[in-house]
Amino acid sequence: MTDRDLLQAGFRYAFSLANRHHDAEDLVQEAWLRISALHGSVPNKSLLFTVIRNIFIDQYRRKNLVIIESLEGVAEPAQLDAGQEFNIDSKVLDKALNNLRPEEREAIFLNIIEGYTAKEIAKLTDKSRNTILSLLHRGKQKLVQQLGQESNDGQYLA
Amino acid sequence: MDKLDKSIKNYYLDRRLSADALDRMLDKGHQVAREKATEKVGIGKLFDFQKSKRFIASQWRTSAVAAVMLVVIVVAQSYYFQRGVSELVLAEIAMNHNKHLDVEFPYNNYEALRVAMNRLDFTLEPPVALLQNFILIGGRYCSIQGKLAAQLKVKNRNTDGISTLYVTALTDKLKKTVSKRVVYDNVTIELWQNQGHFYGLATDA
Repeated sequence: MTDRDLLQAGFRYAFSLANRHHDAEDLVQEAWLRISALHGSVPNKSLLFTVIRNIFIDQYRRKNLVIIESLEGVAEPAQLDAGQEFNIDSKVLDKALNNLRPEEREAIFLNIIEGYTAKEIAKLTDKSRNTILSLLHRGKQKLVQQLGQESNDGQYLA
Repeated sequence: MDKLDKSIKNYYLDRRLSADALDRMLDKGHQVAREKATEKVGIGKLFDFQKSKRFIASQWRTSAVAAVMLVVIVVAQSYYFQRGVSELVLAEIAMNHNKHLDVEFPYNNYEALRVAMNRLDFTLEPPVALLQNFILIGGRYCSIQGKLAAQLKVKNRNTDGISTLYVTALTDKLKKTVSKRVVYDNVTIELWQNQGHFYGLATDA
């Protein structure tokens, strides 16, 4: 993987956390510089993701923007119907993703884009595997709900 | 992979840094890495320099102390050695003088004495000043610090006092003697060196 590929991967991961282009760019840049200063180069994607994540958590802790939401307190969303037919417009998906919690987006990104298993994500994010499975399940259900809602409005029906 | 997953994947894969942003980050990364490396080298060099400075200072201190000690030892040894040699010579001369031994070769000129005392490995040639002030009575063999020497009996032209003059070739050991005039064991002794010869003039004090 070239440095450019690493940067792009890091940017996407940062985007999954921040969900804004500018913030994601800042995150990946800061992480890249920190690692470069420490190691002279960025050795692997895993380290880059970890540093991005740490910076994100630090920044959002400072800004009090991370909403600590207990999984126990969240109402169980409707069952995901994988076969449900609806068009997924990028803007609608963007809106739906923006309504997810950062950790839900992160789990979904790492699972779908990076192909990590729940166990690997758990290790990377220092969470239990069950928590990751819950984040994945609930995150996707929220997306389906929101996308379905938009579809039911008739605007995005196939 | 269901439609949702595909849509999410496409959504994220469409999120890309611009070429400019990529170049800027890569450049900054390289710059930071270089600065850090330079800083490390600088600190390393500074550390080495400080280390070497400390090492050199320590070496200098050690060398200086060693040199001072060496000089003190050499000077002290030299002083005591000189003093020791001189003391030994003075004692030897005083002892020989006090024996008042008769001359073996009763010649009143140095040419005859040189012929008679043919075992000497140096030329028996007294200093001019001595010739002017003392009259030769005769001579005999003796030794000073193990070196064959001539013990000459001479009379002071002014006082008629009898003195003994000790002459020998200047050895390394005798070179350490100090020219001086002292009274040793009731004998006034004058030591000096001249043209490869050692002289000792002893007179009753």
